[in-house]
Amino acid sequence: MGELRIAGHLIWAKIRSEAQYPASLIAHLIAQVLVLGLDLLAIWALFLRVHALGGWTRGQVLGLYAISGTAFGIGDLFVSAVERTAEHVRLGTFDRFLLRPAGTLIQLLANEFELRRLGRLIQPVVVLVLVLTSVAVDWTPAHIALCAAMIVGATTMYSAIWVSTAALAFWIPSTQEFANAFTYGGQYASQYPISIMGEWMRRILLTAIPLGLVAYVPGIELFGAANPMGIARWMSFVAPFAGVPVALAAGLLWRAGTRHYRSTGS
Amino acid sequence: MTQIVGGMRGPAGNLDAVRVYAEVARRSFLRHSTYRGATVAGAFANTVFGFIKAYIVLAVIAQTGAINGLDRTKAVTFIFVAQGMLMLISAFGSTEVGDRVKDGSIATDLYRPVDFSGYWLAADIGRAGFLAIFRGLPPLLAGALVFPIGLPTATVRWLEFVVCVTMSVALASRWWLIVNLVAFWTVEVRGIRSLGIIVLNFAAGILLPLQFLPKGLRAAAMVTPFAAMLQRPVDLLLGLTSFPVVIAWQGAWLVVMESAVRFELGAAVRKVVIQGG
Repeated sequence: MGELRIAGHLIWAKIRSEAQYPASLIAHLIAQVLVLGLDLLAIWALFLRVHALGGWTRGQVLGLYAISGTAFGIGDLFVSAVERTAEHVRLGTFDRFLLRPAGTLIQLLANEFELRRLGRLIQPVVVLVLVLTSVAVDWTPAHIALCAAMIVGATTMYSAIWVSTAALAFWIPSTQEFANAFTYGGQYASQYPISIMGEWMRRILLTAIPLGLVAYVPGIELFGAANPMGIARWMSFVAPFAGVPVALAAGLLWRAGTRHYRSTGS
Repeated sequence: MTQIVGGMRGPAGNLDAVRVYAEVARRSFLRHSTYRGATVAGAFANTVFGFIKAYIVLAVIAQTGAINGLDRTKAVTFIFVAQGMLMLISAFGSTEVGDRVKDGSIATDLYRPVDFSGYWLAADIGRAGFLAIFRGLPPLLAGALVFPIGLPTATVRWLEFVVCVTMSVALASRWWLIVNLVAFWTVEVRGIRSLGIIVLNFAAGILLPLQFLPKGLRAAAMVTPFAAMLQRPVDLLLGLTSFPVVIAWQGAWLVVMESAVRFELGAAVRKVVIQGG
């Protein structure tokens, strides 16, 4: 608990320092909203030509986009700073985190916190509110819980992917773009029904990098959407928890990485 | 100041200048060839995005049939060629010149007895030469393993494509100079650069091949320099347009953008403030 309080203080300090340059912050937030606007533009353009993708209507795809985007946005705000690991390893500044009496991961995340990353969260949240009020969702208590579980589950999953790909930097430097393929690539893939992907990619998204389990599979139940892959209904309720084992694995990988770290010796 | 920026003049100077540019390009090529891990990782990322985009686009074409000349094979080929070209035109932005303005090392560049804009063009050409091979081919080869890829067999078409891609590199090089030189006035160019990235990714045909956009939006994007950087050259490779058309658009935009660079640089050095001390 003490660690979280310290992290909170650090984050608050970072927020205040960023607020010193409000124009830069606002420009960045606007830019982020516009960048994400491209994803929406693509969905809009494609649905001018077809009525459904993988059997999902535009509203349902937008729902998937918004839930996955919101989760990615939360992960981006609080966890994506773990990307900076590579630089700390390269410069040897990771030493500092090891010297202090607190967890390395939480220190790194608090130290590199940037309010400007909020930009990735704003737009999906707006879309989420618009979609969930316009798309036909049967708002039973079970579905409300499922919707929340999807967001929490997907956030956990994205965070775990961020941490595990960043932890690779302890062994191999300059893997940033490799990590991007899983984080940003994963986010891109989970905006669309995975049934439109090839067999091999679907399998990856349901097992090795199970982003399909936290977005598409529960989405079938939540939106009452087409289920061409014939996934069992109970799976929709269990799948959001897939983030938990992945997060545990990411934690172990991070710990192994910090033990492997040998500083730069200079 | 403007004299320095003007670079070398006279016949002997021109010959020397060519040698200098060739050397700058060569060094730039070599410099980028040292980032091996990053190159492999980057090619991997471009390929992964290519696969996802290809499946999305194929799902649409499966329902509609060919869209504005893009059938299954052409659409997929477009996507993987485009994924390979991303780095050549720095689709995710270029920060080098902006950073140099910010930290003051731009002063060294302005001292150099070579033309500023020519220097960066040579450096970008050298960089692109390396990236064309090591970031351009892997996505295409990986794509060909999974999808139907259709590339032209005529040598002439490939030669035309190489010429056009070189022009694309020059156009993108000018574009990122225009964006980054704004740092002379604002110091921080992150916001403007983000806008540059957004516009480029949309209008170059990276987000989606422009054929997929509704008519008006497509027409608007096609007249931009960004379409000339990627969409048009790829259309040429796919046989959807002709060489004279592509090169005319590229040539016209190159003149406009080079003039813009020179105007901007001229204005910047007249009121230059070098950062740092």
